[in-house]
Amino acid sequence: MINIVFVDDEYIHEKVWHKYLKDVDFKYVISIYDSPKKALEEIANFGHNTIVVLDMKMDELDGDKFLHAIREKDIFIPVIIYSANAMMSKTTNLSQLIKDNIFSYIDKGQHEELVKTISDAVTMIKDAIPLELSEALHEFLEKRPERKDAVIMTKEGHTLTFKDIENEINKKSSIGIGYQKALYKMSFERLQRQEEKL
Amino acid sequence: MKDLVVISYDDSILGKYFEKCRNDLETYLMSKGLSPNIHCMHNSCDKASIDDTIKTLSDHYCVIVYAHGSNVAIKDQNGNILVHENDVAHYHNSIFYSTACYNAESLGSTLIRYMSKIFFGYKDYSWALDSDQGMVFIETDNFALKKILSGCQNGQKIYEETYDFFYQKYRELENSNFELAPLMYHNMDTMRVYEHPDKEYY
Repeated sequence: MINIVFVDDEYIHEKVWHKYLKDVDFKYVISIYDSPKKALEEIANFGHNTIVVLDMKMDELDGDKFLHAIREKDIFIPVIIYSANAMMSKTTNLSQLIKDNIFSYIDKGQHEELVKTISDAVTMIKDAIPLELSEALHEFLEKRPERKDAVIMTKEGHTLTFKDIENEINKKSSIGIGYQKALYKMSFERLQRQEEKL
Repeated sequence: MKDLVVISYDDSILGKYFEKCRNDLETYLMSKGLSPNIHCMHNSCDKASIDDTIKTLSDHYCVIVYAHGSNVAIKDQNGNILVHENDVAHYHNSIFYSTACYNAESLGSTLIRYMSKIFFGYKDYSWALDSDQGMVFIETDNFALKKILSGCQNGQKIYEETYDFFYQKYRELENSNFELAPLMYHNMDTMRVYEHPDKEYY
């Protein structure tokens, strides 16, 4: 299930977006935030199978600052700028947007292009990021069962196996979160490598 | 480097890993013809004995930790404090190299405030493996130490070269042992090098 999170202080008509997205080949849930600050507080709860559609000019917090803030939180999910004159604002820091890895930018109103870009982002997520991390790890370990019982340790004194890692992820323990975060970053780094090749 | 103080604490599981780290260090020293005085604070040491040893050293020494850690302390396997940030003034002029968890969170910067020359450590927990695949974790844990012992005097350079080495090993794991790659990435991400701006190491 893909989370499509709209962050825009102007009104977003959810039903209209369901209509635009009716032909996509993935399941999705739309969430809408008219408060970027609230979105910032809650975005980490959505997980890695999330795409943000972000307005640039918002009273509470501009889109570029929102993007920078989520990268600072180590959240590496595709962010699509969807804004009137998306890249033309004099106050927009273009180099920072690039450093913060915008996925794409679309002028507001170009909804067909946005739907296509969202689909591209989903494809890249599927290619590079396991949609369900525990499932991905489970599949990997099914292929190499001898690794299931391999003992790994933290120098804090915890001893566990890769079977345990799945539980730690589900429990959202510090070890599980750490493993998951590393996998997110790896995935994002892979995306960057792919883009560099292109 | 004149003196190395190796604080290494064995327990039932990580002990083998720590021992391999020490052996790797010794092999390196031999291969390079380096023969510093090695004060091995091994297994039975406590805070008092470590402090006594440190106080006999004034300069050109490196404290190397293969043990458990927290954000403020080095601990033995029973949780007893071996080094605590509330009592590190006597570590002035030290090069402090810790592979323990969390030490870069607070202990590292405190040591630098108390005039340690350079600190290496991890800001979060760090991973280790006691298996054939675990050698790569020993290599990365000891990489920056070898740079320092070989005479590198630039903290930024040490950090960058160590980061590159971690990255290279992470990429290798990504292709060979995928499940281990996030562990290496995590260690790379949480590794820190702090240096005192006014100190030279040698």
